[in-house]
Amino acid sequence: MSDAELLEKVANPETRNFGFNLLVRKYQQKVYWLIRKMVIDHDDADDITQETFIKVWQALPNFRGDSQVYTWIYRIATNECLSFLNKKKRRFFLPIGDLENELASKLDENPELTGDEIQAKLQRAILTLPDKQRLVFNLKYFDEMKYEDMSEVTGTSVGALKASYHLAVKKIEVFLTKS
Amino acid sequence: MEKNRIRLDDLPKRNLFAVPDAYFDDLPQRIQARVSKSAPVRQPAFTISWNWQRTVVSLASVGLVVFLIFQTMPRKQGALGTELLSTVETEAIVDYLHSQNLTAYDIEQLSKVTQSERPESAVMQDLNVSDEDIRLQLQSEDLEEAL
Repeated sequence: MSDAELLEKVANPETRNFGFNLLVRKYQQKVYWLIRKMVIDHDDADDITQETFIKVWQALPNFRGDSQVYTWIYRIATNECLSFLNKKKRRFFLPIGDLENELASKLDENPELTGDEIQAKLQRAILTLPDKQRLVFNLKYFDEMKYEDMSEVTGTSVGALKASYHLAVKKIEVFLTKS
Repeated sequence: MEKNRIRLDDLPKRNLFAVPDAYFDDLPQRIQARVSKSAPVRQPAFTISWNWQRTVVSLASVGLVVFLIFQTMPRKQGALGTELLSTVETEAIVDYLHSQNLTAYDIEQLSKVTQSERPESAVMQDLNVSDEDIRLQLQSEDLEEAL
């Protein structure tokens, strides 16, 4: 079902709940994985995913269709993610390096991790990036999102995003080579 | 080093993470359960929320405006008392009068005006009229009115 049809269903009071349920089903995995790669922990990712869709539900009557539905939802998800990480730093007075260590330790303890050693190293390398650069890297590398769409999601210019991604790749390759 | 360098393009893209069984089957119901408690909110066209920074800036601005008004407002000048005039040197007064281009005629006229504004009692004293003459004059005025 197209986004326009979904929005039509949400706009109609009789089919609002059904339409929203379909919208969640369509985007839940993309949103969850984006968040999970940022916060690592499943429980945190679960909470933030639910919060994201509750905000989507509350803001849907004000959605004017200036952007695509999925970039709009991604924008809400990334805002939720970054504000969660910022709160975490503030709550425990953590410098950037300590949050990175905390997320890395979650990576090691995670019983749901699958895959091989090089993938685990890649995740550790990604965790060395600042939050916003990590977000840019994940959107481009894993989601293969177009820079124009990333620009809508992050509110950053295409040029700045390209530079940020290029630098992130260099940092990760150096980390992987050294380790 | 360059030979051993690991390139990101050479790595397979794999998702390292996993979720509990049937997680994505249950998630929409859990979200729906939370959402059904709250109706969608339509934001009003224009809202102003309280913000401490904005409050401080507003108060500072109002304070600055009040201070500037107070500073630039013309002060009301009180009348010059004799005490104040007595502190001014005669030479300074003469210089001031010179600077005002007053002629001898102006000063004479001013003196006449001042004299005409003197109280009646002072004028009578200057005339050296006796009390008896004044009483007789007043009596004759009363008789004229009665006629």
